[in-house]
Amino acid sequence: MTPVRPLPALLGAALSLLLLAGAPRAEAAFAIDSFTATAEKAAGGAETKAGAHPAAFKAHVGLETDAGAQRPRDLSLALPPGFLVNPGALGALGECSATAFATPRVSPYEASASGESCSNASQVGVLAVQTGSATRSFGLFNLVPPFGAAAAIGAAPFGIPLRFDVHLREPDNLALDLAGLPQSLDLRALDLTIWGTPWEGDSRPPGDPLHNPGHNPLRGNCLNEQTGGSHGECFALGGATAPEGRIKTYLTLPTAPCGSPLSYGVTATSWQGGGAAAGAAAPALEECSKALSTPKVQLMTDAAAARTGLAFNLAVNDGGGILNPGGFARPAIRTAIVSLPAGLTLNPSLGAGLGVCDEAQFARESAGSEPGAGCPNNSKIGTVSLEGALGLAETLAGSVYLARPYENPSGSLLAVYLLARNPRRGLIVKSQGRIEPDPTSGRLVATFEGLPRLLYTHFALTLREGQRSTLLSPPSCGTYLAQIQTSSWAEPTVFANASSAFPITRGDPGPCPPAGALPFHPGLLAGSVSPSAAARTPFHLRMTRSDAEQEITSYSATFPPGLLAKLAGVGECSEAAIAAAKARTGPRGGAEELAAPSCPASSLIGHTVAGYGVGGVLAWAPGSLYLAGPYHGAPLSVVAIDAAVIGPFDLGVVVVRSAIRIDPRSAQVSLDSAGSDPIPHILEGIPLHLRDIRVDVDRPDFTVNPTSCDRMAVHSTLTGAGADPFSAADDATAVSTQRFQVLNCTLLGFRPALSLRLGAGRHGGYPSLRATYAPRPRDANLSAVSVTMPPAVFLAQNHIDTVCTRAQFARDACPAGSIYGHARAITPLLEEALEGPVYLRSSRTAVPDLVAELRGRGIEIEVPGRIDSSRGGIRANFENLPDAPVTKFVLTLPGGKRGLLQNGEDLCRARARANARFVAQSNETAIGHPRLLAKCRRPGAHR
Amino acid sequence: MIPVGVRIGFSPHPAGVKVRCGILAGLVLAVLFVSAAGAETVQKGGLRVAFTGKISPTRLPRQGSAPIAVTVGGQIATVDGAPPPQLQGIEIAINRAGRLDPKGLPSCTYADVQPSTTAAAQAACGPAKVGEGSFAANVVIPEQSPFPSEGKIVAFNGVERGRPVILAHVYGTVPVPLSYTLVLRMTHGKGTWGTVLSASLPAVTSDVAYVTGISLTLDRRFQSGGKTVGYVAAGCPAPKGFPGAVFPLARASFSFGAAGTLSSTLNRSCKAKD
Repeated sequence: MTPVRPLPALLGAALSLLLLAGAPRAEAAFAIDSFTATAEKAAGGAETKAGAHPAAFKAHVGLETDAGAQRPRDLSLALPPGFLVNPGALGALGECSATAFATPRVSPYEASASGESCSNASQVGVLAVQTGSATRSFGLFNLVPPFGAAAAIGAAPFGIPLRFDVHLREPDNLALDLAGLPQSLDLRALDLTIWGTPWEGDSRPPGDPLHNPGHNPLRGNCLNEQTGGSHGECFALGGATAPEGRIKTYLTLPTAPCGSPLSYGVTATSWQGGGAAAGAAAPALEECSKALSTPKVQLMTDAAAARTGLAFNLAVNDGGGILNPGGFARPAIRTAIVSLPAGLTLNPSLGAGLGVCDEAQFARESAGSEPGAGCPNNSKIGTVSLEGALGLAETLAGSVYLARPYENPSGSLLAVYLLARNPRRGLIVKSQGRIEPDPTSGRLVATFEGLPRLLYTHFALTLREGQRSTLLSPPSCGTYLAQIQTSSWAEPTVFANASSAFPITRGDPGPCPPAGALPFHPGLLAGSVSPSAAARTPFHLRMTRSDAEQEITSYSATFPPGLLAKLAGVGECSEAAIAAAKARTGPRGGAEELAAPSCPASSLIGHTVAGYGVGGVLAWAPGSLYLAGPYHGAPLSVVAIDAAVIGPFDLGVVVVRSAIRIDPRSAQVSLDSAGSDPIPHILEGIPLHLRDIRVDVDRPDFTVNPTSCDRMAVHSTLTGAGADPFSAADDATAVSTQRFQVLNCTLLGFRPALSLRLGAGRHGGYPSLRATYAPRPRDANLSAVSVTMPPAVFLAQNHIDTVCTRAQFARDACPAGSIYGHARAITPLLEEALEGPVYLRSSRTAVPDLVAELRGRGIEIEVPGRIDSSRGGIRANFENLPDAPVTKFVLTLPGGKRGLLQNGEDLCRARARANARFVAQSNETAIGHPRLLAKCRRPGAHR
Repeated sequence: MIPVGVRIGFSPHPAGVKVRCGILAGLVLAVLFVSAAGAETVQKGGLRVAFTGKISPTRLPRQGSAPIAVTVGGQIATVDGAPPPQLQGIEIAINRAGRLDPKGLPSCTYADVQPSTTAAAQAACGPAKVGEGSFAANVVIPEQSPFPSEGKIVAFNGVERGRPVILAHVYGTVPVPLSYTLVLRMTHGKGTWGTVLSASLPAVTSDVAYVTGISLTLDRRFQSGGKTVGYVAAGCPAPKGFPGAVFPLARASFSFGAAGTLSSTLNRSCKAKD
């Protein structure tokens, strides 16, 4: 026993004193003049073995009440952390009901002053009270606790019920709180004795020091209240001894730490406003190190590539460490580090509809708080249970909550809060953990630190399964090992290693997936929202794959000819803006991108939605589609900037940029894989399992349908990640062709107009030519035109100097001498005109082609005209023209020394006409006979 | 003898394909007094020129001359089938016993027929027409398949700077309508060759286009001084007592620039009509 000494270190006591400091000062003194506390061995002396079960706990509290002027009201006895009272040791049989506790006792041995009539089985000790100058002992019983108390023990001296409610002060401190002492009791001191094993003596064999023929020498029903001694036999279970298997310990010493004295504390207040506190130290614990238990990790499935949860089970004191009188409690696990095998990854579907729990919300969680009062229900991702705490059969149950990413104690993306409680018993345990995925492989390491210190027999943590499961099982069959490292509260820095195996034996569903790469047959849907020809309509593209297929890593496509976009009025997202988007990798990068997009709104051309995950529920992340400048040699590019905000997980920004190729002959638009960024399949260590990509090019009036109603297709090529998502060597490709065909071409008009203006019309002259094509708005686009000049117009071969070879043309290296004119096209799709030189280029036909090379906004369009003759006239044939709207097209050939034409007649007199045949993209045809309007002298004009 | 040359030339340019185009309508009257059709082939290196000619009638007066029709052709080829070098010049020296006589014929200028279609040329200069023919050429442009080009030749009596010339108007529509007029100039010499016809074709350095065939028939007859005369007239210079004669009527030369000149003397026979 240790003398009374101030205990400034006791926070509770100090707080009490601080609180009392503001109260009206009592006139008379109120103090604790003596306080001792100790856990004793059966043979006497202090019990010091860690986790041991003492024979008894004894505490003495002496009050200075100024000769009764101060009457105590509340008293609280704080046990050292980890010192446990186990109400479950006695079970229901050992509980004294409220009725019995309020019914006065009738003793066969003497006139009893005790106000209770609790059963022998519920007696757990003796309470000696000193009132005035007299001291009398009373039985101390294990009571049915009130709501919110872990346990309750009490006595009824002189008919006055005194109940100590056992409360858990987190994390594992128990306190015995005695509230509302009546002033009439005039309590001056009390001696509390709690038996370590209340039913112990019943089973002690003869010769055992504790054997007291037939009864515990300290048993209260037989108690002599005057002396504390026994009057006779009083078995706990009526007239019989308790079976050995039912004899359990009521007290357990802490399992740690060793080397430091155990500290007890007591605080008291008086009805008169006085307050007092005192502390006592007991000898330090010894023999703290105990063997660690081996945790087990199990998947909730044996199927490959399946949604699954995970169970983490830990049995610590299942051998009776808490309740077995002959055993020792083992320390709880403080830290568990679980390294899950490669292939077992997080499921992005988890993010669908998932909420988060803030630190403050978690802090608000208490043993009695209502569900959702702290962490939101939608932040639950698993369950936690704790069995055997305080020897109770009741379970502490709770949840695993997702902590707000990055704003949690570990500062990590993936962190969890663990919470289990028993409101009725006022028990709660809290802990936290973090899950760290490998940035490149997604392999998970879960670290739980500060696991419940309150002793238990079984700790279970499960991460949920189902549609929004937490995890995805490995993609192939085999036996997988999880490596587990644990350390205990007794030795936090000493880790034990263990492993846990779980087999994957089948597919989901069906047999095991074949070895190597998964199949790859992605689906594709593509089309304009409106099927009408020439309609300005959003274009929708959707790519999907099943869970049993390879990941999509790239996309390329060739869109139907004539499916174009109006770039006029559309800005471009700058390189700097794209770089800024890529740089948004911070904890709130995705949210920042959503709040303040990197690219200007003027460059926005559409939206994307990406579905990540496995199974029927995907997590969706929004994105935007922007027009950007040159990329990989293409004049334009499209950049998809997706805020990878998958539920509560902000994984930054995904930027996938694709070069837009425009076929110079057909103006057909394509995205090629060589000019496209790969689609990432893992971000921040979370495999995205991108399964559904939806692209809507929905800027108003942006996408324009063809004016050809021919059957066409969107040809797409998707690349799969192969067996190894991190290697391009085994990538697989899948080609998908989606039919594309617009309607109502017949509703389009087609009335092309062509004018031909020549320079000097005199015979033998070399006239210039200005050919102007001007269709009506909303007409079908021109597919082909052939213009046959009258026989009076010759090709001036003597002016043909240099011809550009096709090779030179392809290299964009035509000599200047091969330029014979100029062309200009005005299209509503562009703000600027497409224009450029007109070359003579080597042809596959007899005569060099007349080729207009048009450029604008980086786009290059080649309009070749095949030259031949028809009925004696030069004929220019422009075929397979791009299905693109043109407001005006002007081709100019100079005359004179560079003139390609020569008048075979005096065109001023001949009134010659050309023949023109037009074919629309809609297959409409039109014939024209434009007159050659030559520049002639007016009659009578002087030379 | 009147050889006819037509040529379309395309020459490669250092930075492209340089085209020296024109239609060189080489029209050469090569052989007068040709008594029979035949081919005279001359070869130099791999280049081969076969001159052909036909005259009718072959029975001609021993004294004086009579109108004749003469068809002259030339085929240019190479032994190995490669494109031949460009034909750059034609010169035909004619035996002084034959004559070309435009007297009494209307004449046209170059501008009257160039450029024009055959129909337009004949409409403008029909009265001055002295014959017709055809030409064929092959054109080879880099990256293009060789293609044949064909055209019609119409020869007109022409005047250039007051001197008589033959305007050989070439018109073709394949592959495109084109028109070219070759001017054959006449000079007079001494000795065996009394009349020399010469034409220069535009300077050509490329062998991407080449003439493959030329043919022209001069057969114009017209009224002059109350008599029917021919633009081409000849007699058979056989000595008295001989039924006919064989003798050098003309010497034809085709110049191919650096590839040299191929020449041939055409000997023909005739039957004398007393």
